[in-house]
This record gives sequence, C-alpha cells and structure tokens, in this order.
Amino acid sequence: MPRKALDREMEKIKRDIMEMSELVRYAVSKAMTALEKNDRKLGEEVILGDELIDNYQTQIRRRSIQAIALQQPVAKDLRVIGISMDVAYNLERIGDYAKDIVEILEHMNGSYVIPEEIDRLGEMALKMVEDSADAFVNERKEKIEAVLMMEEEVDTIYESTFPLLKKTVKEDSEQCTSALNFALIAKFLERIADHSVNIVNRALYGIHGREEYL
Amino acid sequence: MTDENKIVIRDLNLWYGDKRALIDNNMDIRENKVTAIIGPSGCGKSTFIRCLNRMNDPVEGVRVTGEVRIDSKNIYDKDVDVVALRKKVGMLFQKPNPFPMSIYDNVAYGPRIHCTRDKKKLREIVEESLRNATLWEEVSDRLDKSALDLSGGQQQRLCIARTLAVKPEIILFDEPCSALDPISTGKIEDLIHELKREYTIVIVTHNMQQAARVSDYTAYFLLGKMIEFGKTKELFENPKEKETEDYITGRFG
Repeated sequence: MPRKALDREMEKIKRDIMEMSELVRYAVSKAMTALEKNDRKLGEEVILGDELIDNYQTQIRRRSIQAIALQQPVAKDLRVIGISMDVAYNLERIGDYAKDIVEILEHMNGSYVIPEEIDRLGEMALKMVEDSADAFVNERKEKIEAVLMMEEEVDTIYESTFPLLKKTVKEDSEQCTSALNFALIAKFLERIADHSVNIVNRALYGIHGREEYL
Repeated sequence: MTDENKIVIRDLNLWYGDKRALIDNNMDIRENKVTAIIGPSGCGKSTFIRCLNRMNDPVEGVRVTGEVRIDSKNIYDKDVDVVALRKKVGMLFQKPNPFPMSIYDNVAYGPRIHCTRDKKKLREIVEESLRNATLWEEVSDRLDKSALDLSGGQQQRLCIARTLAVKPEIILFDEPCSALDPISTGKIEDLIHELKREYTIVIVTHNMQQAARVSDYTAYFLLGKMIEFGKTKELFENPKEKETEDYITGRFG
C-alpha cells in the first residue's frame, strides 16, 4: 500500500464523520427527550451543541479539499472523499432539525401528550441517522438496506400523522397549537429520515460509482 | 468534430525477437479526440504508440502481426509508403529534438521536402505553424536565431510547429512533457486542447493527472495488454477493472 499519506487522510475524514454523526444522533435524541419531558434546559443544550456540529462540517470540508489538492485521489478514493463533504452537509442539516424541534418546545403551552406516531418517527429517525453514518464509513450494505426499508415506514407513518392531528383539533380546539407544533415536528423528523437516505445513497455511490446515487 | 474512428487497431501483436511486447490488442481511436495511454514502465505503451506510424520498423528483430487501419487502410500493408504515413502521422518525443539550424528552417524543413519551395508560401506556412503551436509571439522577432537557444518548453513547441507544418492528420505524443517544468507543461497541455479541433491525438504519459487533464479517452496497459479502455472521466472516476483501479489509485505492485 504505497499511498499511506492518502490513507491516513481518509481515515481522519471517516473518523470525523463518525464523531459528527454521534453528536448529531445525540442532538436528535436529546431533542426528543426534551420534548417528551418538556425540558427546556435540555433543549438549550441541543441549541448550544449545534456549533460543534457545524465546526465538524467545516473540518471535514477542509480535510477533504486538502486531500484532493495534496494527494490527487482518483477512482474510489476520490468518490469517497468527494461525497464525505456531502455526507457532512446532510449530517449538519439533521443537526439543524434537532435544533428546530427544541425551538418549537418554547411555543408549547401547558401540558401535552406526544402522539404515538411522533414517538415512533423519532425512534426511527434516530436509528436511521446511526445506521446511515455506519453504512457510509464502514460500507455496511445491510445497514444501507435497513435505512432504505425504514424510509418507507417513515413515509407511511408521516402521512398518517396529519389526519390524526386534524381529528384531535376537531375534537378539542384547545389542542390546536400543540397539534400544529406536532405537525411541524413530524415534518422535521421526516426530513431527518430523508437526509439519512441521502447519506446511504452517497454510500452506494462510493461503493459502486454509479451516478444515479448522486 | 466527428464521432468517427480515425484509427482502428485489431489483434495487434509485437515481438522483439522472442519477447512478445504487445498481446492481442484492439482499440478504436476517435477522430478529433485525445486518447491517452497509461501504464507502468515496460507495459508496452510506447511500443504501442510507435506501431501507429511504424516507428518500430527499424528496430532489429521486431515482428508485428494484426492490423492498424487508418482511414480504413491497414498501414502494415505492403503497398504503404512509410514516408507518406509518417507525414500523415506526426510524432513528438520526450526530449525536444530541434534540428541544429534556425527556428525558421526547423519549421520550413518539412514543407520544403513535401510541398513547396516557394518562399512566400513557406513563410506563410512557418508563421501559421508557429502560431498554431502558440510560439509565434515569443519568436517572431528572431526566426533566424538557432533553435537550440530556445528553452526546453519552447523547443518542444517548435517541434510541434515543425510537425504541424507538414499538415498531419494524427499527432502522437510520447511523454511530451516529462522533461518540462510545470509552466511549459501547462502550455503544451493547453495546446493539445486546441490541436484536437484539427487533429487526432494519441499521448503516452506517465503522469496520470496529465492523462486525466488532457484526454477524452484513456487506455490502461499492463504487461503488453490493454486492460481497460474508455472515456477518461469514467476510467478515473469508476474504473471497471481492478488492475486499473489499483494502478490509478497508486496501490499497484
């Protein structure tokens, strides 16, 4: 293996992506817990933690550009480094959605009960974030398939959320604000799932090099 | 620009005595495109390119089988005029090799033999060739000076001008930049981009980044055999063969 310097840089980029994905997953998890417990202090932690996530994205971008400039990777090496920037972008967006969820918390008045569907969406989104980063960094094909399967379920649950929230509002108009907030949260969780799917598609591009995954 | 095949190579084999240096190679080289040949030292890429204007003929013990058809005519047929072939298929080498004469005479040398001795006509050809080789601006005020006083990069462009002066259709470049600095290399690469409008170009290079930068198609050779041939962007982004991937990513050997 005569390309030790390039291999070292790629290892660093992959390590950064794993660490960043761990932070992002933690942010989503904390956001859901903050929502569940109406814990605004925990919500604050998510907002404060977002800066670190953003810094990781910058670092991955910088390392990737440097590796391209200094090591001139081609073929699979180039694909993996190129899409690392894409993966970091998707992770950063997921971090932003975690922040959006806790910002909604500030507009929730009084007590509320989280609909089961939102809970389930939260669990699945978390799993998809974890699996997608693992799929990319370690080329785990079973994780890629798992994420793509979960996406279908997420879409089904997401679509069922709106009739349910509409029904809640019809039955009790006082629930209008929280129902609207839950609709937004459902949207954010569905977007998190979409970004996870983007990540596994980039993983597929890294493995197979086919443009349909870009 | 056309999508026609200018050179069609079929079952090309070459032996140096008992040693088989090229093994059953087939390739279609497109007109007005740049085709790069890459591969490790000794893989046969220079031998291959030299088959395209029969530059291997004078080498003792060389035997060639198969066909190299240029515009549908097999250049290894007995009735082929090798001098006319080499006028049609010009060649540039690693080390610039200007003749020890003036800049003007270097470029006028070929046209004087092949086309005309008319001075006015010759002057036009020399200027046009030097302009097309992007050297005119640098030498127009010292055409009578010795070509040997030019820098390496200028000498290489002079050799390109000398090749262009006899109106070839195909230009073969065998490692044209390996003796040049990055600025001269950049000029030659820009020139290759310009030249492909008029000519079909085949370039052998050790520098994979150069192959990626200048060529439309790339062929990877290993041990005398073409392992992979395809569009350059596909070969460098997603090669089909593991041997190609190992070589271009630097994990060869």
